[in-house]
Amino acid sequence: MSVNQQEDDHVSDAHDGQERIDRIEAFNEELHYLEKTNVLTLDAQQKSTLSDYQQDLIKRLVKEQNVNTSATNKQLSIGMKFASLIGAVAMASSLFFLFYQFWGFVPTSVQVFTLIAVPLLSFVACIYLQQKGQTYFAKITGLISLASFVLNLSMFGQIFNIAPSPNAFLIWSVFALLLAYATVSRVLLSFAILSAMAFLSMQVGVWSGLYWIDFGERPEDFILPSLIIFALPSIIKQLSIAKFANIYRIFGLIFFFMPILVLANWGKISYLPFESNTIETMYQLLGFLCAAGFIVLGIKAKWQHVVNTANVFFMLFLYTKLFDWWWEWMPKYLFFFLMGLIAIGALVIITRIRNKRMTKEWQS
Amino acid sequence: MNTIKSKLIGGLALILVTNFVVLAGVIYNRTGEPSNTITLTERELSLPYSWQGDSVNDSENSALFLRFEFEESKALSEMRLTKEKLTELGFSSFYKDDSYSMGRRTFYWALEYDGEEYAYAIKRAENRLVQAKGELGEAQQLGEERFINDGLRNVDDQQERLDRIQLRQSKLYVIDFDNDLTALQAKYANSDNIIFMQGLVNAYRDSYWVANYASDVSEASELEKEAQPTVYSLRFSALLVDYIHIPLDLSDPIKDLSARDYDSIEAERYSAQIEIGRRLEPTALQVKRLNTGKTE
Repeated sequence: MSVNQQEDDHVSDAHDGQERIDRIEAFNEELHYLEKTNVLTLDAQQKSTLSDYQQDLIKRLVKEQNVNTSATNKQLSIGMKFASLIGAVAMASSLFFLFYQFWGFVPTSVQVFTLIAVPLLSFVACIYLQQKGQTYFAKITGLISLASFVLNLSMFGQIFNIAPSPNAFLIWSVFALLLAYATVSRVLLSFAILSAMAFLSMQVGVWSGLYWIDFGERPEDFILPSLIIFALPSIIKQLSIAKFANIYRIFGLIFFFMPILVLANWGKISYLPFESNTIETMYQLLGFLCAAGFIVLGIKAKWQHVVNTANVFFMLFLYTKLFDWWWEWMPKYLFFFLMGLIAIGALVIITRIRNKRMTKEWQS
Repeated sequence: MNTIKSKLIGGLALILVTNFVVLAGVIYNRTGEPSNTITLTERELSLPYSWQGDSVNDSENSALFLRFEFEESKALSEMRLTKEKLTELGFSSFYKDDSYSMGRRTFYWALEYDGEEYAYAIKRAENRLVQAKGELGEAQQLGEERFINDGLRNVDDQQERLDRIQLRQSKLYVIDFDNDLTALQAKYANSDNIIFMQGLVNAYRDSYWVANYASDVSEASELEKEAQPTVYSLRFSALLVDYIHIPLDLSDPIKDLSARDYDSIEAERYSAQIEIGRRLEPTALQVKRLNTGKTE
C-alpha cells in the first residue's frame, strides 16, 4: 500500500471507521448490481486488488477501532452503547450518594485524600481502557471520573466552607472535553459544552451586574456564548472528529434560538430598554430571519444538522406566532386546519426547491 | 500514542493543579491574622431540619453542618433607596422600572453579635407586651367579652414573641454593608462584637402594601403616595457561606442532637467557636455542649 493510500485510509476514530465500513458495504452491493445488469464488469486482477485492499482495511479498522462489519453486530453495538450510557450514569450517581452516605464518618484528611484520589485513578483507568480498545468500558469510566471530579470540587466547597464560584464550571468543562476526545464520547462532549455554555453565560451576566447564579434570568446572556460554541469547530478544525462538529453546532443553535424564542414571547426580561411589546416584535423578527439564515447557511455548507435544527425553530417561531394571533378568536377545528394547510404548503415549497436543485445538479 | 500520553498528562495535571489551587486558598484563609474569632450558640448556628431526619433522603447525608441564622437591623429593614442610589451601590440597571425584583448582588456585611440591635429588639418586644397588657386591662374594665378575648390572645402573642427573642432568636444582626471591606472594617474598628462576612442583598421595588405597612398612613395620603417617585428596599437574603461544616473530630458534643422544632422556645444547647478567615470564610474551631437546654 502506498503512502498516499495510507493517508487516504486515515480515519481518526471509530465513527469515521464505521462510516468507511458502511461505504464499502454499499459500494460492493452497487458493484454487484452493476455486474449483474452488465453495466460494469471488473476483470479478475481488478477484483483481486479491490478485495485485498478492502480486506486489509477492514481488518485494520476492526483491530484499531472496534468497528462493526455486519448488520447484526451493528444492532448489538447500539444495545451496548445504550447499556454503557445507562451504566455510566448509574455508576456516577451511585458514587455521589455513596460519598454522601459515609463521608460524615471519616476525618477531613481521609475525605480530602479520597476526593482527590478517585478522579485521578478513574481517569488513569479510563485512558488505559481506551488504549486497550475497551471503548465502552472506557466511556463508563470516563463519566465516573468526571462525576468524581465534580464531586471533588463541590465537596471541597462544603468541607472547607468556600464561597461558591463560577470558575468550577470552566474547570469541569475542560476536563469533560479532555475525556470526550480521549474516549470519543458524545455524552461527555455534551457535558463539556453545557458547562462551557453555563460558564460563559455567567460571565456575560456578571458583566451586566447580575449575581453569577442568576445568569438564567436574562436569556440574552446565552446568545453570545451560543454563537461562540457554534463557530468553534469551524475555527479549530481539530475539534471536528467523529461528527463532534455537529454536536457543537446543534447545541450552539439550541442555545441561540431558545433565548430568542423566550424573548419573542416575554420581552420584559430583556436587557433592552424598550417596551415589552417592541422587544417581543424585534425578537420575533430576529427569530424568523436567523432561522432562515441558518437554513441557507446549512444548505450551502452541506450541514444537514444545521438545516434541521434551524427548520425546527423556524416552525416553532411560526406556530407560536400563529397561536398568538388565532387561538383566542378562531374555532379550534379551523385553527388546526390552517396549521395543517401551512405545513402542507411548506412541504410543497420545499419539494419544489429540492426538485429544482436536483434538476440543476443533473444538468451540471 | 503521543496523543494519548498528552491527554493523560493533561488530565492528571488539571486534577492536581485545580486541587492545589483550591487547597492553597483554604490554607491562605486559615493562616495569618483571622478577620474575627467569635463564639456563637445554637441560636446563631442551628442544626438543619434535615439533620437526623426521618425520611431516607434526610438520612443519606452523614455530614454535620450548622446553618447561620441572622436578623436584619431595624434601620436596614426600613431603609428606602432611590433607583440612582441602587445603581450607585452596583445593582444592575437593566431591570425595568415596573419590575418588583431588582436583582441581587454580593456585599460585605457587618454582623453585630449580642449588641445594641439585640437589646433594642428586646426593648421593643417588652414595650409591645406592656402595651398589650394595658389594652387588656382597659378591655377588662369595660367588661366586653369579645375585647377581653382579643386582649388575652394579644398578650399571649406578645409574651411568646418576647420569649422567642430572649431564648431562641439569633442575636446576630446585620447592621451595615458595603462594597469596600476595608472601609467597613475601619468603621467598626473599635467594636469587638462585629464580624464581617460576604452575603447576598436583594433589592425590591417598594410595593404599595410595603409602603403602607411601613409608615401606617391613612387612605388619603396613600393616594398621594402613588405620585411619589418609586423607592426600593433591600433584603439581606443569605450569606455566601450559609452553612458551616463541623468536621468529625468536633462533632461529638452535638452529633446525637436533632434539629429543634420550629415552634419550640427552648434555650440553646451548644456553642461553637468560629474563626472568620482572611477570605471571610468561616472555620469551626470548637463545639461545646451547654447545660441550659433540654438534653435529648
